[in-house]
Amino acid sequence: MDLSRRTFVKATAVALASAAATGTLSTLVGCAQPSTNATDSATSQVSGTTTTVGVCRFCGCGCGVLVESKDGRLVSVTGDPDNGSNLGLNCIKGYYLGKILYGEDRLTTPLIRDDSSTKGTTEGLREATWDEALDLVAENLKSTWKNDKSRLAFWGSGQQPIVEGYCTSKFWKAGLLSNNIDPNARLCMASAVVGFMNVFQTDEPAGCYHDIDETDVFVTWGANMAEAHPILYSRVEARKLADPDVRHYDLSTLYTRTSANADKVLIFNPGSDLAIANAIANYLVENELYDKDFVADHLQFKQGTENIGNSFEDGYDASDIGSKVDAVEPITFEQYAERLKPYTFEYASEISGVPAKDIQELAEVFAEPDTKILSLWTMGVNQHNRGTWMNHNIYNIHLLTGKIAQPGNGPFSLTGQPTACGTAREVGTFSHRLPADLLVAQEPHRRYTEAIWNLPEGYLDDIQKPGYHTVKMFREMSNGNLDFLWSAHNNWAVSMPNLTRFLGKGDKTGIMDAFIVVSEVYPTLSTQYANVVLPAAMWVEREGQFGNGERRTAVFEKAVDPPGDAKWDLWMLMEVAKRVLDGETIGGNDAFDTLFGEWYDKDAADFKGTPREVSRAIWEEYRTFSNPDLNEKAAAINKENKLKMEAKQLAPYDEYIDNHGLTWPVREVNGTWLPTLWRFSDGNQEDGFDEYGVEQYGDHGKANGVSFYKSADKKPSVVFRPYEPPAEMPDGDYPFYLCTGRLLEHWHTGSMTRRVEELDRALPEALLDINPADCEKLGIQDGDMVTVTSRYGQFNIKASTAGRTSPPEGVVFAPFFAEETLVNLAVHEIYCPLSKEPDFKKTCVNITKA
Amino acid sequence: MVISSLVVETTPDATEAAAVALAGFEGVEVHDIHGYKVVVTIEAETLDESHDIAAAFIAVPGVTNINLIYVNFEDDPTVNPACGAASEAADASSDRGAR
Repeated sequence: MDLSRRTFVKATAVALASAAATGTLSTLVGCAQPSTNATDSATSQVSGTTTTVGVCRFCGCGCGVLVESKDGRLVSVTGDPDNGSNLGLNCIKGYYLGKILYGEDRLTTPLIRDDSSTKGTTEGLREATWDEALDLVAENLKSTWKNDKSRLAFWGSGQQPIVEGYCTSKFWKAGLLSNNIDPNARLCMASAVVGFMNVFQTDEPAGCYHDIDETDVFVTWGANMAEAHPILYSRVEARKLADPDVRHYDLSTLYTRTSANADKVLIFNPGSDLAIANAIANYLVENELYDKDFVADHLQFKQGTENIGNSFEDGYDASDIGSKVDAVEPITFEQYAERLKPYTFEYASEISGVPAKDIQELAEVFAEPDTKILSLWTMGVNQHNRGTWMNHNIYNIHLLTGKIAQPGNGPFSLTGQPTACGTAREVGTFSHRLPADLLVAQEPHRRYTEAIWNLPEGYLDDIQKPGYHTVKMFREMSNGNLDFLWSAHNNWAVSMPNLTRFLGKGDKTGIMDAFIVVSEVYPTLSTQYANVVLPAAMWVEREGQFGNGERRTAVFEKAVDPPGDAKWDLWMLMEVAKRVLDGETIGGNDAFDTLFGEWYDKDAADFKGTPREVSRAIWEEYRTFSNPDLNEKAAAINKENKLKMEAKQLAPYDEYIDNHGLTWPVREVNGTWLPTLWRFSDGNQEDGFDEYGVEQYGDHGKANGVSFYKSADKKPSVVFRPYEPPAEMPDGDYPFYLCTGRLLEHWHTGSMTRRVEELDRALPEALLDINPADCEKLGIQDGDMVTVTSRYGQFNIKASTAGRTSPPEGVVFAPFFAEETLVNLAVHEIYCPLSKEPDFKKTCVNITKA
Repeated sequence: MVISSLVVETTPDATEAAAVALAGFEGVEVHDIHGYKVVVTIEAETLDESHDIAAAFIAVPGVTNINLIYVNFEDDPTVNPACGAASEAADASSDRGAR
């Protein structure tokens, strides 16, 4: 960098940060980087560099960035002030958004394993051509499909960009007529999804990140935002600094960095959050401190199947009780009140270990009629053997008090991955879903999908039964009942629970026989079990789209080419689909061309257009699901069956680029597409309210100015959910709860962040955080290696009494990023019976000095 | 040389003292203070070193959050080996950030 360039760069750095500090960054960036062609791209070119719009891919916040490239390489990253999710701020992981592309061990050529006995080692993979690799993948997928399609599966991700997730789901569900497709979002968001669907009959929060800036009280439930959602936590702290009266209650099973700045920390016994929430609801009802108008206008009450046991056995879902877990029945408000009565503060205190006065204090806060409260939760609530129930219990409190869907007021489920919402949930890459909240089990939903996918009526009836959810998929593979697995954008060999079983280290060795395909950017533990590794283009080496936790869809543009022979995942999918569907027909027409012919030329083995044009074409088909008027047949089905598909309305593709992301539903008003910040909330669309949704399907003049138009009878459900204990309780053999989670430096399994020397040095190894009193009882010292053993497996790890978290006696914590420690060898795969999301927080273990 | 800029947030009573402490880090220059926010730049050889310095800010009394605004890494030899020798020569004659 010469001096003039250096001076320019430094001046830019200072000006941008000063502007960010004063809230004028948007103006400055807008002046510095004018768009050259707003109708086609947000790309701009200044001083020999090209700037494109991007979205950070390191956590669930969905922060916007501006990516500058020069001579085919990235040279700078700036927080995007025009992305409403982060307003120009990034956390320090942003240093590595550029560097992460340039690791020395990037996968740049396809790899094939000829000898399956080498699985689980670093040996056995050889280089191959794309044709050889794709032929081998397609041959195995097709033979499995023709033989027994129950024996194939795809495991995707909340990091799989939207158009790829859409095409993968379409290939699996319409091309292969298989529902054996599920995302890793099953491990983090499924309980939230089922909670949303049960309560509101529509997925994703009513509110948005802007609520953080307006609330009076934060309540964090099982959420270590300081480490897992740093930019949002920064916003929480900013709000607290701006108004000293703002309060923060942190409910957790252990002290975290988030607890450190809370006004009050309620440390509860694992699983007892159900009882605490019910005690708060009981207080509100018993003392008539709920919002009576809101209850009368908006709510219906239910109770569901109880004493539902746990999924210890592989056949749990089909068991007598397992098949009844979704059942609910209506009850009256009085019956609901009666069910709550046992949950006194004293009873909740007895179960939870939290002083009754602290629970009462929080209940009294919820009872303050004019106080705005924002509940935020993540994996402590979702990865829970009653995760769906706990989601219900938080909603119950907010619904009873009417604190929902208004600025600063709301229950807000945070996401763990950049597009868990955009792809896994909105596209519907789950084993039971179709796009836009539609379900395979519902006939009108299948008809609607057939109309948009141009399939013969009744074609999707073959997939009306949901396929394997994630744990079922891996259980069946370990049992030898899966012959083909393709995974992309994830690292299951580190992130799945019960790896002793799933990696074939016990008596179930199905993983060795299954044909496994892994699409990846770097070698991982999962590639060590792959028969074929497909090298993928990464992040801004291709165009993609993420949808974050506040319903914001954003596009990241291609900035540079991928290295070597690495390819766009979408190209791999098209090439495999082309081979597998060769000779197949749908309604008398070529199957591949029916599904993908609009954007892919199978004879040329290439897309029909640029990545932008291809993404736009796929998006336009996808967004028809939420714009039924774009398809006459779909519009008729929508109207006849009252599907209300416009409730999730998406805008034309280029609007997301020009606007640096938009939160759905997006409404066209006088030729301008306007986002919605507060769903169901009546008010001007220009101000972020859901004017057109309420107008089309809801009612004006209801309590608190909201109308839940997507819910049955326009009334969300308050469902009574009791306290039921964890799947395992500590005993003499296994006296500790093991809780696992994420820490700031490393994202998920560390497959990207551990390649960054400095991040790895900052957090080089996984430590077992343990209470000093427990150390003393066990005769171990800080820094000793210990063996952690559960009923499922064991691992060795260094004990620490000065780690990031401070567990109470009887609880230990370990992060899951380190493959050399592999804590999931010991974590059980018991899941919430409703959402099928595993409980990573409460495996019972014993600890001995190694 | 990698050049980055950040907004470091502090508790209101500790802003001035935190700014002084931040300026003491190698390669760090404090440019401005807006309320409880301190505007700083970091100049370091690599992204790794830049991250290391920024991550250390959290240990400064009163610092509550560290927001990265901009980072230019076109001269980081670990990202772009081609830039190696030329940028080293340029760096040697340049104004390294204030301590």
